[in-house]
Amino acid sequence: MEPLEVSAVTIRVAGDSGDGIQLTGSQFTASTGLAGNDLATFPDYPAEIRAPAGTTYGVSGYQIQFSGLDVLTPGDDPDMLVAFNPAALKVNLKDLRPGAAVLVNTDAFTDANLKKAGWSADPLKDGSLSSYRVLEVPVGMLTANALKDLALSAPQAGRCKNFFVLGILYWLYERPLEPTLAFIRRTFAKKPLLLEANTRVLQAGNAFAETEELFERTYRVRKAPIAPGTYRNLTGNEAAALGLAAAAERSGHPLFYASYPITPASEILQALAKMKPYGVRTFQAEDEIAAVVAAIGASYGGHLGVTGTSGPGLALKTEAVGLAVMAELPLVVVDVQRGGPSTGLPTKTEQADLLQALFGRHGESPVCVLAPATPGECFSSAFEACALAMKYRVPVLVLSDGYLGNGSEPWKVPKLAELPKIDVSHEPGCPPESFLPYRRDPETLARPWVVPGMPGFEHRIGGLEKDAATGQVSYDAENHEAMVHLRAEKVARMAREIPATSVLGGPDGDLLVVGWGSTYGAITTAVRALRAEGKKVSAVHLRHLNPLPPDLPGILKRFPKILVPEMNLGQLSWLLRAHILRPIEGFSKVQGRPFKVSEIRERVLQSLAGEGGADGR
Amino acid sequence: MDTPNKETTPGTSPAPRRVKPKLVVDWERCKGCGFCVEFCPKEALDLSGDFNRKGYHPPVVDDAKCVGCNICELICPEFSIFCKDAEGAPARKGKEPKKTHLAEPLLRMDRMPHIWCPGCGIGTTVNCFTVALSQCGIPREKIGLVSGIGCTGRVAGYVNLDSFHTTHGRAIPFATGLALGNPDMKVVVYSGDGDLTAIGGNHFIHAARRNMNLTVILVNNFIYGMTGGQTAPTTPIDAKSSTSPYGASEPPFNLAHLAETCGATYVARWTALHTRQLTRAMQEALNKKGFSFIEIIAPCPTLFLRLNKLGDGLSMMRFFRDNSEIQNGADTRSVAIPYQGKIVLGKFVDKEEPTWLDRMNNQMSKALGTRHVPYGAPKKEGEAKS
Ligand SMILES: Cc1ncc(C[n+]2csc(CCOP(=O)(O)OP(=O)(O)O)c2C)c(N)n1
Ligand code: SF4
Ligand code: SF4
Repeated sequence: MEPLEVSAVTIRVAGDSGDGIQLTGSQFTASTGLAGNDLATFPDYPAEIRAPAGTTYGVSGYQIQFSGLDVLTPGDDPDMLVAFNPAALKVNLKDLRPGAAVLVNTDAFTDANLKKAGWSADPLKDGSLSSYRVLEVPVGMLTANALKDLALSAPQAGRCKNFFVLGILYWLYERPLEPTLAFIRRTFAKKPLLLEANTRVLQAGNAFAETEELFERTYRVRKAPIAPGTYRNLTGNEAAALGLAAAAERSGHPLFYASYPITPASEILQALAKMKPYGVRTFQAEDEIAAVVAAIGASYGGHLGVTGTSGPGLALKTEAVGLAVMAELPLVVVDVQRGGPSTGLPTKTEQADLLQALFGRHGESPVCVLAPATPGECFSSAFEACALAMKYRVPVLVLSDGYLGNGSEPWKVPKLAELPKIDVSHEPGCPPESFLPYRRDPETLARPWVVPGMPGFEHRIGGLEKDAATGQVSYDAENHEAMVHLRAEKVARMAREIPATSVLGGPDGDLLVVGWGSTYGAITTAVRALRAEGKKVSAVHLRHLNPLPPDLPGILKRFPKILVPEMNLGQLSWLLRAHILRPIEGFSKVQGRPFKVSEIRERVLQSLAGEGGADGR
Repeated sequence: MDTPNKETTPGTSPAPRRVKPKLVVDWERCKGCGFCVEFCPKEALDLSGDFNRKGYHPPVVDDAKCVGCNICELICPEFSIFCKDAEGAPARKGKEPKKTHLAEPLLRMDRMPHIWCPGCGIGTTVNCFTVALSQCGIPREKIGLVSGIGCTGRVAGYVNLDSFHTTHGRAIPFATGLALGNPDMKVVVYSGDGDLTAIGGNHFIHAARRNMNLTVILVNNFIYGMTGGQTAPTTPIDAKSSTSPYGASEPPFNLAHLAETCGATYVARWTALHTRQLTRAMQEALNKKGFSFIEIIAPCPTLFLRLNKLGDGLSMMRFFRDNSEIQNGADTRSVAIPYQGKIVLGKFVDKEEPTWLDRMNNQMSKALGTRHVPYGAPKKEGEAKS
């Protein structure tokens, strides 16, 4: 049959975390990027590294949407679900719309596995899948066949089965095999037997799909019109790491990244540790407090001091962020948010650290807060955070989240020399006799960042309140109040750095959707669709949460209704109500999963129809 | 200071071969602790019957007896007494004639009087530290000093160095960041026992384990001073504190042993009375690569001594004199400090081990060969590349 042209495809692969789901997903993603499609991904893995095999809470998933058009989300409902076992089917079936394809590994549908997954009868036999197109493939058996004459143990052979499925998917969606073959050659360069086995299984899966009638036809997705350049498929965490390293390079300041491992932020430390040959300095501290304080120490010593963590770690860093506010030293803190409070949902995404980032310190302790909207923006956000922190000598918090940190998209690799240069001076601006460590730049209010080791400029700073003029420790009441105002004013002035807010859609209309962070893809896709249907809906997306963009009140004024979708109970809504005194409709989802496009679309329609409640949440 | 130094009357003894230095007492700075009087080997000092403006009795000197040994200069916690070379004295081994306190210019005399109580030992330790610093051969701009919070934590504010006063417990991680970024600097941590081993205990053991290139000077007064005398991880069993009014019951840390077992490459313990040994130990520690640790036992008259009815700072200094035993190289397992018992002092550990940075650089060179660029100080002004 002729290939079927489709504009976009969403696939979800699911199985035990030991089935190699994330590897299957990331390989498919790499080949898809090379095939020239735009894409977005959503890896969704369980908190347990190895939950008991075959159980529903051990199910790991990886979803990707790819298209010839602009892709902003990993897709609402999959067109195709690959279920490696009954548990994976059980967990994911509810997300399928009728008519979707389900590829099942029939070998795993044993009585024991069905029972473990909570199926009372075999869904392949009792008609529960009648509204889907079911593709039954005995993946385990076929993999074993392909490896018959190789001296592999049964478990070794079993571990190859994800590549059989990958081979099938490559045929179905006309992806090239070569990128994965190259990956296999690299990975198993020193293990010829495994190299041979994985190569064979990938090719066997591909050939199986081609010859088996089960798969009627291939699906063709056009190449996306992507601007020329070098692209890399990149997760938000990798992008953040690169953004920090790039800022270090462009400012001529070595990056000192100190961190304590925590999901889902650990990849930043891991990525940066690999960049040590390029002058990046990493320090895995004994806890989050040590990490942030070491970063402040490095910053005092003239480095670009950065730390990264997730919510529970940000809570521990609280006091030290206050120290950097008081000492007026540059500091960047990347918070890859996860479900909370407490240990919460370590591997799931959430946006509930916004108010912690803004206010989670004692005393009047203002900091700058940025939020990237896409995995790729984690690069620019990290870069911007470093530039702002060094210019104003304030802590800048970057609120990424698990969805952005682990999700990926094709990203155009910028040329280092084309990135803005970050000019930082350590010049005291006066001879030693008249040096005052708290003399301020009249424009930015930043104090001089004089590093230790400059003879004659020895100075003492720290966490105690300082005299505004001399920088000596001071407990004077009026001085303290003046300093509180100064520190607040300094952060308020950072608003000058915020570019004009761009509005998606018309400058006025019936409803404005205001989002921040990782909800960007779902909001934008939904608003574009609604506008195509003729609805007067616009959207703005905030990358600057403190200070807020100065033009925001003016934009909000032009819409009678404002809807704020967030993965929390309404933290941005709360902030906007306080700042702009407008009724805001909140729309929360706190399920550890991102919004679907359809959820936003429906909520907007409800609101337009007056069903949202005046100040509903 | 608003009152000029009050110089004592010149002695009348016949001109000696070496013109005797003259003792100068800053009358107003003195808090009358009596340390100088008690520990002058020549009994050349006595407390005056007069009061200074704060109401203390500063010492007067019998110039005939004073031999210029400097002991009072080192032991005075207020930096209010010093030996000055007499006018026209012959130059000493090419050195400039001594005109000021040993601690100058490393101390910010303009910040005196300091916040420490009369008879508190912290000032004495700082006195020794500044002398050690001026004699250790490291240029001043290559030293960074980091303190935590507490009475001892205030040291950062009094030294004429690049220094940073962190939050409670976090001096070691701050110093770690500073030292890793600036390997040519000697970073010193100066803080209290509660700060470094209770709230900051995790950092302490890990910095020792890593053999971070830091000199950690810990003033152990057996109690939380700044916050009102609560139990510290060093409070001996039976000693009273404001939170253990019936006597402490928790076993305290044996800090020398803790530091050694965690990996410190230099461990010494002295008291505030042992100023010469302490100064030497500080010099050694400053010139040591790796994690060097000095525990200084010091009197806290306001809290530890008062709550335990043990007299004043001077009584504790006398106790140190009568109950200390110097055992260099002692097995640190045997040096725990019982309440009002024998205090073993000395240099317990002094060994060579690669530092964190040495090990990291070796590992990276092994893995990357010449591609590895060892950590160096960040570029100074004007060197930033475009
Ligand atoms: C986070 C935090 N917790 C508690 C305190 C209060 N605090 C300040 S100093 C101190 C104890 C100091 O004891 P120590 O380190 O032994 O120093 P000393 O005052 O005896 O020299 C405490 C508990 C604080 N400043 N910050
Ligand atoms: S040691 Fe210093 S403070 Fe104490 S009595 Fe002597 S001069 Fe005064
Ligand atoms: S309270 Fe104790 S430790 Fe603090 S300054 Fe006074 S005597 Fe010294």
